[in-house]
Amino acid sequence: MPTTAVPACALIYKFTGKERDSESGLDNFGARYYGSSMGRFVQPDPLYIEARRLADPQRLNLYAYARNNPTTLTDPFGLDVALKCDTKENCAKAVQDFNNRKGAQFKVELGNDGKLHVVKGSVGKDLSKAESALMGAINDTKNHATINVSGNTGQSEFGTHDSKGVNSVDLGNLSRLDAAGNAGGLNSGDALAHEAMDAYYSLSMGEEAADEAAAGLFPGLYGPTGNQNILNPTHTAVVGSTFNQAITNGIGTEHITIQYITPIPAIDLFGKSAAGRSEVAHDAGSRTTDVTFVPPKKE
Amino acid sequence: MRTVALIVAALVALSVAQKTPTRTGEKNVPLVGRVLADVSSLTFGAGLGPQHTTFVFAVEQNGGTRVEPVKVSYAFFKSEGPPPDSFFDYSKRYELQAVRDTKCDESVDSLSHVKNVDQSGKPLPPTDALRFLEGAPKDALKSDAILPCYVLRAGNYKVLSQDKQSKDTVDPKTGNLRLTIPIVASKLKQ
Repeated sequence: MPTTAVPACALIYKFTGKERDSESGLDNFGARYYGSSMGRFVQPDPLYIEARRLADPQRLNLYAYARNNPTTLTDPFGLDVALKCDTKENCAKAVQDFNNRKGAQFKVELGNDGKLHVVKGSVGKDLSKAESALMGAINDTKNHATINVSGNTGQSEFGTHDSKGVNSVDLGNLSRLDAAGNAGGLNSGDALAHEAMDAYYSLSMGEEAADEAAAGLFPGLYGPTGNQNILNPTHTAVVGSTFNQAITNGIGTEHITIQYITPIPAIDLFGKSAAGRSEVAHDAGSRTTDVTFVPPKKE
Repeated sequence: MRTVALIVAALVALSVAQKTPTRTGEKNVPLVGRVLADVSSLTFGAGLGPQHTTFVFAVEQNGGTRVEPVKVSYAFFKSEGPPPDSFFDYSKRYELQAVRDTKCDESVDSLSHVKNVDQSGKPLPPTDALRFLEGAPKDALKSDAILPCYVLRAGNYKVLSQDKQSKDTVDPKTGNLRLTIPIVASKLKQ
């Protein structure tokens, strides 16, 4: 009977298809290594702070595999912050931006499954609170967050929360954050990380709490002030506006200029209710055209 | 058993610490009064947080014998939207649960006008932006007054009562007088 040759590469893929490191004998589960001889992960689960684990004694052991129930449950790559992009190029750009976030201590890449993966060997030592939380979100196998990535949403927001677990970013607007005039302010990677954490937290808490929890790790913006309308040459239509928004960690303010795609007749703006103005602005469509970082005034 | 309890307590503390709000950790304070004026400005925000719209609220003091106007920055997310048109009704007496934020205090004069510039950045005459609600006293605001600012999260308010309409109407079919019944403590959120 002829012997069937097994490809050498197949031998390194072990329990649930994970790659085994030939030197350590450990299986690579992306976020952590699994020691099959011990039946335990050799590092704790990054999601150690999840309150809901408290109700499940099997989940209190941070080194256990799949609640000590491997015959029923699996812990696949997980890596569950997914990017849903309008083009392949925009996905690549979003990953590039993501890796440029300030204080980055690990890099991500996009898997064929559309999910972010932590790049093997890129993880620094002593992760900051923000980086640790971000890695936890990316490696959470049970909660699925999605970032819709678009080159042009037709609106001037950098990033928004859409629904439970889903946020959107506009790369065209985000690129303005990386301009020289905004040096010292938020960059596109900070904004992407903020939206990723906001989407992730929104799975387990309300919008306000999720936004504030995300802003505690990766700053956001709040409280627009100092609005100025930009009028057309005949002064009959609003073609854009400028305003300031404070950065939530207090490092300064972003001075933002937006342009309306469809000029808004002045008569349609003033005197309308807040809901009416919001609708008019949304319908006009807008783009962020300039962002300048303004450091706080010295007292 | 004691060790398990300590671990559980530590995990709960870590969980709570992570979820503690960073910016509006201050407590909500109740503000009872009426919406005085809407600030008709177009910009709501650029994302990465809630959007905002502004109005002036007359807070009742000394049992309603005097009022203090304050600026209210209404923070809302896309799914929540700005306050509905029905919110801007001077006949409604509200209780707002808002957070004091000294960073957004603003003068009446500044709130009253939106600056205009042309496309080259050259200043143009400003636009009046303060829109007093029907029935609201227009002399309640002094232009040089600095209004203390409060941040109100979307929907964090309730209608305490609504004034009887000044003119009761007559039903054209029956000829009966139609009276407006005051609404008491009903939730307005729509």
